[in-house]
Amino acid sequence: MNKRGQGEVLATVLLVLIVVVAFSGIWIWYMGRYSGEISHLYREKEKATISMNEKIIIEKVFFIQNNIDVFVTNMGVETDVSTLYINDNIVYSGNTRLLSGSSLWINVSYSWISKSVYNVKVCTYLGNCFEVNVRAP
Amino acid sequence: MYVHHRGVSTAIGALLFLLIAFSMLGLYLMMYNLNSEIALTYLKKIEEESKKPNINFTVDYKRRESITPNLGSTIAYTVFLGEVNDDGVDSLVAIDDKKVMLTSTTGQGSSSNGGIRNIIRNGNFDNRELTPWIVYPQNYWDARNQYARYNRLVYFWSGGAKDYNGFLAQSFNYNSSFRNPILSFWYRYTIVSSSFLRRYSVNVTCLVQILDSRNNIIWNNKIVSVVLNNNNPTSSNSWMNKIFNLQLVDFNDGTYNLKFLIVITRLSGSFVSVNVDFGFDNICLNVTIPRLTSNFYNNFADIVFDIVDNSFTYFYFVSNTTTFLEIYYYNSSSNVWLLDKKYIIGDEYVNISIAYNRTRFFFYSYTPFQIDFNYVRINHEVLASKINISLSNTGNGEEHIIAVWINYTRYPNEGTLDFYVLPGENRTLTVDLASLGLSLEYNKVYVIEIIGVRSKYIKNIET
Repeated sequence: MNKRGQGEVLATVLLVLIVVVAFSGIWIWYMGRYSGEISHLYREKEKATISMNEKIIIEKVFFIQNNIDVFVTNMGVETDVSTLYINDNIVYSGNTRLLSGSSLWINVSYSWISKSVYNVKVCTYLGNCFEVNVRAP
Repeated sequence: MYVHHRGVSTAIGALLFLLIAFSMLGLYLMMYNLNSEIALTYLKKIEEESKKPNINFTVDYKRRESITPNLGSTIAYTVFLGEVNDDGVDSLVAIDDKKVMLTSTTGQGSSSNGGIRNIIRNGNFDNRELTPWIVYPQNYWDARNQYARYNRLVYFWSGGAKDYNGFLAQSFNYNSSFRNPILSFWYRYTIVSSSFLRRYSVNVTCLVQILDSRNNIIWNNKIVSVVLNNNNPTSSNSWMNKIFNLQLVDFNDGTYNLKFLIVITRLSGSFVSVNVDFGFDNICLNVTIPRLTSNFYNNFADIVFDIVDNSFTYFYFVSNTTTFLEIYYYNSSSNVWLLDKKYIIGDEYVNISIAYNRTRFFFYSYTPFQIDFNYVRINHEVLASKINISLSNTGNGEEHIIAVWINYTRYPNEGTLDFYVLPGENRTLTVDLASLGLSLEYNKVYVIEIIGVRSKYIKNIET
């Protein structure tokens, strides 16, 4: 009688133990994913906020013989200027750091035609683009 | 008892399940919260962007400096009707005893039955000067021999000009009360042509014209028209007199222009040289002034002031009797005088401002009069070394101005301006051109670009 009772207690303890161990495994796996997801969410939020506050101003576009010089100023958060497009063609690509409030000349070789309208677009590393249309002299 | 033990593990399992379920719910709520925060930031951004500034701006790039009105340098006068006396170069410098005194002249034969008056000035060129005649091209005209002479050598070649013009012109005032206008003058000419190629043909014409204030020809007469060629290379005529009765010309009250126009035209051939030598003398446009009546003004004075360019001038003068004054300004593009304003002045000092550099004061009255010009204040307009940009924002969003471009020069050289124009505000931004190594020059176009964070604002200024 007493021995049979001990078996049942042992079975119950084992069952509890299996449940705890199984859930502990699930919990450890889940917590890893959980904390990873939380960090990812915060990173995404920060990126979105930075992206929203990027502001590049194309102040001036100079047309010089076979060259176009673009003067840009960063009036948003610190960013990286990555590409310059003229009429949707990449004419400059790099990764130039531009602090807030600072300016940058981007000089590119380009055969422009007098009196034509050109779309000048500056894009940042985060993917924001700022553009102006200018008429060549 | 057996059932109870199994229930413990189920309860623990359920508890752990609930733990995971709640943590997943927490994750979901956190995601929701972060998304809400981002959405809220976006909405704020959109709201900010929807408030647009509306910037208008003007550029003040001139400043006025007062200059001393010294006779003969900063201000000069020429009298066409009347007598003048002045107290030296500083006659107009201050309100004092030194003056320029202009006394009226009376129309000829005016005492009883009216009379004849020549309304053309300096038609006999006795002073060996062309003033107040306007001549073109200036180099080819002179009055050294007491007549107006146009002496010019022109060359025609196949690719060059087809004709060359020259003229002698003078504006005059016509009053509708004038009668029987008679134009008379003497003229002579010598024309010599040649070409080293055999065949050529040129035409020389001389026209006498009267133009109204809008430059429309109201009377035209050809006094010379000669065709010269290889067989007949020269033509000349000694002094001849011409008299035209202009009674049928549609004159009204106003300013007109008498013009002697000489045109040399190549008809055929090339490498042709033509030397024209025209003379004009004793040019008169006589009008009959009707018998004096109570409403006719027979006393006149006519004075022209030349002031330095780009100036704004205040004249301070007085008449000794009631006098009528017409002020004309000179339009150099059409070579005519245009009426600006009319005044009635009395025996109290008047202060009249003039914005022209060549101004004519035409006084007339029932009785003889004297005008005393006592003081002239000249505000000379010069290009400033600092430009003031007045910005007004009539929109509902603010604008942050970060830079100003003047053609290819940026202000400031480095960095950005911390200059905000809030909705409803008017603010002035001063740009020191000297600090940029820039100075404005006359007769140039400057493109002023105001760079704002929200937009760019552009204006051209012509100095």
